[in-house]
Amino acid sequence: MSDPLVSYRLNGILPLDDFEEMAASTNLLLVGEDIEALRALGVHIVSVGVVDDEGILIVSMEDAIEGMVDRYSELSGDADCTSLSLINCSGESTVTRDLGDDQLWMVDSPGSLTDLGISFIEYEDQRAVEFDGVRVLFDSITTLLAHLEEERAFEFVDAFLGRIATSQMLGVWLLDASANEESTVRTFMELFDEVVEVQRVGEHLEVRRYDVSTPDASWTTVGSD
Amino acid sequence: MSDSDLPAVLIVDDEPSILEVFEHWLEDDYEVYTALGGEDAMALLETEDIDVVLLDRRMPGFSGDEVLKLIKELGHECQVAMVTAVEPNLDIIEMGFDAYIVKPPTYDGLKATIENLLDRREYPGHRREYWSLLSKRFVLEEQLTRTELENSEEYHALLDRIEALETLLGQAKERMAEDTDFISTIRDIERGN
Repeated sequence: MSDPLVSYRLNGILPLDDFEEMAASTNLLLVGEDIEALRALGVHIVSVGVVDDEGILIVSMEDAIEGMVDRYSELSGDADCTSLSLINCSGESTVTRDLGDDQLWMVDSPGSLTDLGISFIEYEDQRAVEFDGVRVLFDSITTLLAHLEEERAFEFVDAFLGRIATSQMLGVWLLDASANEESTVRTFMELFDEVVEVQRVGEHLEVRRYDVSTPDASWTTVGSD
Repeated sequence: MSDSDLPAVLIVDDEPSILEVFEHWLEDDYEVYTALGGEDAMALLETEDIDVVLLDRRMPGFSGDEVLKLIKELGHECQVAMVTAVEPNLDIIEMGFDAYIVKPPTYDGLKATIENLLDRREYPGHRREYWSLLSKRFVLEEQLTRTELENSEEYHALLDRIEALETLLGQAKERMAEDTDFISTIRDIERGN
């Protein structure tokens, strides 16, 4: 990346106060009980960076990766996925799109943390330099917790958040609250600069900013995407 | 990397006694391959997964420069150290090698160069180019007089490119240390330390 970035525009995706844009180096956690809703919103947030010449990196531990790539390509208008890179930690080759060597990294399991870290550094060297900023979508902390002891997952996420901040990227992380103990969810929430709770109501998604002082703030409907 | 898990080093020299000495020095720590000329070297690069090539620059027939050119054209992913008794000159800027060893090397110097090249494999792209240009700069500064350097357009172009890469990489040295710290932290977490 060339000049230091000031912020990442969100184009009104999150209709909350102070969420028009996010400062560079911010890590945002999307938390809720519907992982598909979290994915949909997460992909939307990273996809809009393409118009600002930003790079998009999806770190996926799930078979859901193919659907996310399709959705990315639809929402960003980047039909050939030239601004997209993937670190696929699902252990399976579930990406059928033709992506270049500098766009796809395979890691054999979500627990292979060192390989994941090296892939990330390679992405920074080979790809991030081409863009005016990078948005990273991490799917998901829940899968990480299924493969690692909580303490290790916590340390790993903490180290990774630091790296994203140092590199002036925008990190968007997903955590499925229905799959983890409430105490675990609360612990992870502490690590993030911003936490947005997400719920599905009928056809719509609703969001609210998590703030420890107003735990029962009202929900805002997300515009149809 | 080869089957033995040791990094593979290919030594190319038309002088059998040099091959013997180098092989003797290196065989405990690396999987060593030897070639008496460019053709043998290219054949080995096709069949073996070579990490580092120590390439004699002056060989009869197929010269080191030609072998290097071919390695780059064919896209082999190895690091190349040019070994020569000939003092390097400005033409080295145009060549795609990664390090330069002046004959006769010492055991320690040779080992250090190989280890340095092996470390570099971890950092592809701009960082690799940065390191490669830095070593060229140091060679030139050692071999040429100040006036020669000042009058050389190539040398100034090299300095400009290094500076551009430093900006691009954002304080490259600090950054490399950060990378190493980041990966060791994660490795410790993975190992449960």
